[in-house]
Amino acid sequence: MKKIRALLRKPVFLLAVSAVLLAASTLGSAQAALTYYSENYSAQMSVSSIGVTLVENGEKVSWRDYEHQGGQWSENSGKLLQHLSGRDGKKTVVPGKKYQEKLTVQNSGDIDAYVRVILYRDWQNPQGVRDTALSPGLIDLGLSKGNGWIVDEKASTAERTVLYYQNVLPAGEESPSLCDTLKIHSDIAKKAAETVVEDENGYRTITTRYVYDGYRFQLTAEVDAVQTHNAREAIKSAWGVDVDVAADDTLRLQ
Amino acid sequence: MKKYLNKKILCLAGAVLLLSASGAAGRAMAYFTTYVTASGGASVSLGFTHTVPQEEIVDWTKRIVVENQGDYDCFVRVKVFAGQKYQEGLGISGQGWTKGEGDYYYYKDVVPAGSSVSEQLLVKIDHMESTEDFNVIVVQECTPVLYDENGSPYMDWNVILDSVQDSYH
Repeated sequence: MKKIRALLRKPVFLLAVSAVLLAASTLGSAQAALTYYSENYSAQMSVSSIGVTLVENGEKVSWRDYEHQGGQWSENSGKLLQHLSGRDGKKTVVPGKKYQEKLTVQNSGDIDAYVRVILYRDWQNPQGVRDTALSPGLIDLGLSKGNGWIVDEKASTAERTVLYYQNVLPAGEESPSLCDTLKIHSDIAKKAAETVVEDENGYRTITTRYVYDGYRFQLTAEVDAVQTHNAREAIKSAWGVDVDVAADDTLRLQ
Repeated sequence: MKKYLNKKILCLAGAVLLLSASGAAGRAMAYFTTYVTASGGASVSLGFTHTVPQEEIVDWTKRIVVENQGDYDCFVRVKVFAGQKYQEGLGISGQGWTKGEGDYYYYKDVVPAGSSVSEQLLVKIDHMESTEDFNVIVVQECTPVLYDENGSPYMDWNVILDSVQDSYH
């Protein structure tokens, strides 16, 4: 026992142990690297880059694709809702009316991917100041059901909706639409304010105006994509969520 | 000297362990990911509109077209009446126009802001060989386009935005 204690106190022994640990970790890395490069070897022949594109009503809006040659990102950040028309060149919507808002995700890379979309909705008053008193729920996105998109209820709030596409999105393919329509709920028109002005002759002028006329809503879509290989770990690392991957490669939120 | 050597070796051992740890960290980050964002917005359009009847009289027939001069889409309806003697002699017709509640003629489609109804409402007047002056009065009203739960447009004539009366003498 004493001998062992004496041995533990010797720096040379500690150094030797460290060296063994380092060697072991290198061996581990070598194995990982072997697996890694082995998979990527075939990837470099035909599949080499990840990419994702947000598509609105059939038009590509934003994309970010890794270009293997040159090692650069090809990217574009566009604007949503440009198809809405309105007076004086301003985009306007009429409460209650349904507008087409078909959002899909295209895998514009060379490798299969899992994708998710986070939608943000909020209101601004006519002066451009964010108004949290007006419910984001009045911005009604007709979310699709039963086509592979699922809402992460735990991560979603009134302002934010988190959707996961359960299936693998193959390279070059486009997902089903995660939403189809946009509607501002007609309840927004129910709030009106009345102003009464009485002049010196006793005549009264009553003016009624809609409280939320001119209010502006903002819709933001964030699309994330991650590799399908080691999906569970990759998703945990990239998105910070725990998922189960079934035998048929579909995702399930934990 | 021995103490110095021990420290040196300990430092080396620490560095080795750190290297091992950083190697593992490197493996953890080696995932293919990407992301993209887009945003946009629009203003809510709430308000009132204004409609104007455009009338043309040709050969004792009044041709009525209603123009939406406001900023909001609407539905329109028109009512035509004359004196009791002449009311029976009014022949009112027009494609797209249907007689409905309150003896108004309702135009079937939404009249978008800045445009007019596509079909004229024709009012044929029988003057009964009269030599007296008489009036043919046209009343037109508009109501905002409302949308049901499915987003389909409908009209509610309890909400009248604008009412204009015109007469032919």
